[in-house]
Amino acid sequence: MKIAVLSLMACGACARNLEEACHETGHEIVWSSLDGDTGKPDADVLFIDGAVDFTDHETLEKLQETTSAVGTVVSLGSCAATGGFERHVIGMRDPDRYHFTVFPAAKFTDTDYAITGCPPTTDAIAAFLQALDERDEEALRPYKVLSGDYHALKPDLPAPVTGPELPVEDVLLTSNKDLCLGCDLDVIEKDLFCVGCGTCSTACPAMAIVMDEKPVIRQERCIRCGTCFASCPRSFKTTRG
Amino acid sequence: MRKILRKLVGKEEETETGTDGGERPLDPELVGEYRTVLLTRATDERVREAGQDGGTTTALLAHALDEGHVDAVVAAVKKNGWKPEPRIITDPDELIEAAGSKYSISPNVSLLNEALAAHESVAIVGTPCQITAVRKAQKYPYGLPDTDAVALTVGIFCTENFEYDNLLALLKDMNVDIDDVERMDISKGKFIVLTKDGEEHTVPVKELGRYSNEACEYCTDFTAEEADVSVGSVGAPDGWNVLIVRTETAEELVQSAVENDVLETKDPEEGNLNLVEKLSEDKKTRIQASKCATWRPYHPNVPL
Ligand SMILES: Cc1cc2nc3c(=O)[nH]c(=O)nc-3n(C[C@H](O)[C@H](O)[C@H](O)COP(=O)(O)OP(=O)(O)OC[C@H]3O[C@@H](n4cnc5c(N)ncnc54)[C@H](O)[C@@H]3O)c2cc1C
Ligand code: SF4
Ligand code: SF4
Ligand code: SF4
Repeated sequence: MKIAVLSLMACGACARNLEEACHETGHEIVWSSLDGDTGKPDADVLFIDGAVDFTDHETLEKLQETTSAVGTVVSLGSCAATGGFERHVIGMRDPDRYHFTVFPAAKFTDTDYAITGCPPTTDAIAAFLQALDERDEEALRPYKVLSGDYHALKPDLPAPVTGPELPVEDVLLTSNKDLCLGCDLDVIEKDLFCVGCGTCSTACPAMAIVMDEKPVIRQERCIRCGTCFASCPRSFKTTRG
Repeated sequence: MRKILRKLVGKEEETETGTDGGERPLDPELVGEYRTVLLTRATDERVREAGQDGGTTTALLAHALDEGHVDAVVAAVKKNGWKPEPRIITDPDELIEAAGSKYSISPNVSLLNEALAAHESVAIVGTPCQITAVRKAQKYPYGLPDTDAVALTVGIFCTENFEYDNLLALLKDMNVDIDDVERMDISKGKFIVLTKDGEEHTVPVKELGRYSNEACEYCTDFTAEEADVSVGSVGAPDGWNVLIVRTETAEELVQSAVENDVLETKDPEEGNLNLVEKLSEDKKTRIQASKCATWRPYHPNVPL
């Protein structure tokens, strides 16, 4: 596949891991804003990483122009998918002024898939590329769901359960709140879906989760990336094999 | 022993080609895909003594370490007052410390990243939900690198687990002090606590619901269907294990453990494998009675 990368307000780690994954899986990066490419990319897939300041019209236009040229758009990493640390300063400080105008890139453009992670591992990106290349719908499903396609889960719901931004609280605690219909708040609020496996804790890039049977979030460390949610065996079920 | 293995492998081939119209010992719809089913126990008496049932899990993991199949094992050791704690173990002898079932939550997967960072190849033992978590991390490694280095997953059968405080509450209601507990077991439909004075205290499994971790209500996997190999007690004679071998890797390892006299086997006919099917089926239907019937990921009628 021919790959394009548009890097916005980001640290660059996602794009680096993408480059590594492309190298490993034999896909070619044909267009990258990091290499100074501009205009409309001629590519099969566009990865956007980073967040956008919505007062920055120039960047928003660039985002529109780039995404309109490519058939499949993927938000790569938590800044692009959920806002991640771009929206929530670490250390539980009050947000700086700029945080109120910064949103995940996925907020401003339709994305087909999202890869959560801060940054997503090279392995995760490679697994996604493989699934996309093979058009393996089953394997692609979680990436699709995480990009905000919650409508399809329950068509008669008046509004999506969540949009491309996962609500912070939901990212923080045991996950499945997000996918649950909320028919019984008691069940959800007490985090009763948590089996205590510890996957969230081991996957957390900020070492923000300690396990005391169930996860305990050290708020000071959390960067709101949602890796815990995505990794939890109970946030969504995976297909066998 | 090899004869039994060979016989079993042969049996499976026969059923697959359907020559004798015979049934496979367990229904894959209920227990997941598998290659063979065996009854096993550790040959080493010391391991059997420390182990929960036949000590198969401990013996097999120790063998995997001994043979260099894996460099480290993530398992659950017992701390004060029966509180479990996950630990990365590299010395086969130390595995003895992890033997025996602890009936409260041990977040074994929480050490996986550390284990993968320090070791080339890792085994993990855990409840079915933990094995599912590892498989998910392998398929969707959002935050965990090198999950391919998980070379062996050993699942233990599980009906339910308990948060530690609830385990204490349960014991209190049974008039047992946790410090007097010699052994705990779920067997023959009962939760059995053996105290140091030699007395046995029991509660029917049916009454455990209000003590167990509520998350377990939404669990449909009794036999760790995604593990390389699953180990349990139900259906096996006392002091033996039921071993469900699911992958080629596990099959080779089990075979080598038998050949090296680490595990001994028995003809599955001597056990009652129907019980494994029954408990698996119970667990798959239990979810329908759970509080939050619309919980999508595990609800039988809502795909995701
Ligand atoms: C909570 C729980 C419920 C169970 N329910 C059933 C049941 O209903 N029916 C049935 O047949 N079997 C059940 N088992 C499994 C059974 O108790 C034995 O673990 C199994 O038969 C293997 O026996 P063994 O002699 O080979 O184990 P051992 O050689 O003693 O090895 C046991 C292994 O299990 C690991 N372990 C112990 N406690 C935990 C824990 N809390 N979390 C994660 N890993 C742990 C240890 O690290 C050790 O490696 C349950 C186990 C647990 C922990
Ligand atoms: S707890 Fe960790 S994994 Fe979860 S959102 Fe915070 S930083 Fe990310
Ligand atoms: S990953 Fe495991 S421990 Fe963490 S919230 Fe999910 S079920 Fe609980
Ligand atoms: S019953 Fe299921 S969810 Fe509960 S501990 Fe056992 S495997 Fe995990």
